[in-house]
Amino acid sequence: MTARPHETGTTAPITRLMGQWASLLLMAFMVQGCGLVVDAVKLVWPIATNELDAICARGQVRVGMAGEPFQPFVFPAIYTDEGLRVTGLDVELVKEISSALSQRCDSTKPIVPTLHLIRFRNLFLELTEGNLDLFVSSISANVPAPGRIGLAYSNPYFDEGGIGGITMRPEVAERIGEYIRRATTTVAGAKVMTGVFSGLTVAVQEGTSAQFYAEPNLTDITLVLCDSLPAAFESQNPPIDLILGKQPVLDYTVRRVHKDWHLLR
Amino acid sequence: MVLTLEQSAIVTDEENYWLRRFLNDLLFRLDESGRLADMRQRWLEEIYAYPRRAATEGLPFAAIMGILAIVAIGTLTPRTGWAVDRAEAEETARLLAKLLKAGRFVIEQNQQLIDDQHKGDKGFTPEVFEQQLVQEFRQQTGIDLSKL
Repeated sequence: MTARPHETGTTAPITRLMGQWASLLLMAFMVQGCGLVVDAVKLVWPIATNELDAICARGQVRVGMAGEPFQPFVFPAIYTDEGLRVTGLDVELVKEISSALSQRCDSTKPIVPTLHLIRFRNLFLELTEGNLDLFVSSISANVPAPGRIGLAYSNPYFDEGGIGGITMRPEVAERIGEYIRRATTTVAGAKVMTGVFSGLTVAVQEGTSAQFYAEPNLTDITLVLCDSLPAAFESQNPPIDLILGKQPVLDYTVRRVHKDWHLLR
Repeated sequence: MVLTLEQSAIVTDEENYWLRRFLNDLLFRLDESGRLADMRQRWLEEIYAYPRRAATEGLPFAAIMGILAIVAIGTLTPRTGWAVDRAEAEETARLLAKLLKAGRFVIEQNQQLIDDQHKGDKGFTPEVFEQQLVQEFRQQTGIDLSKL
């Protein structure tokens, strides 16, 4: 009987502590299950109201760009007398964006574009992690791609694009051309496409819209994923029959760089 | 032949509504003013040597992120340099051939005048030849030699 008060005296703090932990655990579960809590906090205390103001305050806009060339949108970075420089249509667009931001910020100092050259497939990750404000590299808008969540696309600045193909082998070009002619259409349907490319070894740049098109639509091919378009040209094992990619980029490449390759027509 | 159509756009974070609205407004203004069309024409249609454009109007970059950094610093740079030399050399050779062709065309156009034995001063001075050559070269290549 004398032991009871002693027992109560030792277990009471433990019980209280357990109660507190249980409450905390319960709250943790509740918070985890209810993302609205974050939204509620944001309503009371807006964390980031206007990202344009953040850019103005920073004095620079952080722009991501693919390290792999997408000529003429992004050319390979080269050494000039002024140091390493990158150029292309997308770079000119970035200059326009910076210029417009400078006007918007109404500051004495212009907004400086800080370019980050990143592997194409990592651009999306860097953006979602908040390391970039935006990125451009002839990115195809609204192409269904696994894992690309939390992103949004502007209105298009280039709408004459599409996925095209190039080959170095005349017989491949002839076979595809003949097949398409028989199908009596220039924008061929999925069935025709499956038949026309059957058995070919097709290279695409990993993570691009060409890969996301080829994987579900061209089922009877050997698909080779390359780090970049130049890597696709270098591939020897297996030898590549056809390279799929952005039509304007491929068009530029066969006209100016790899003149022994031919655009599919 | 295209397998599917696609449009190029600028990518932002989904929640950056202000920035996206700003970009859409800007793209609309650039499109309306014809600036976007000019840019497309300039980069897709014109004949140019991109190393020269990189030197005059290219942007520096802050960082190369990821594995590419190792590749770019270690191996890409010399290969790029070589590619640039070759691309520029090819472009220069092509333009020189065009210049020669334009010169021959100008001479051919004035052949009757040159062969005319009854005229002393034919007015076909080096300055006139240069003027006609520049004009012909511009027609053939879109490059204005007088602005170089």
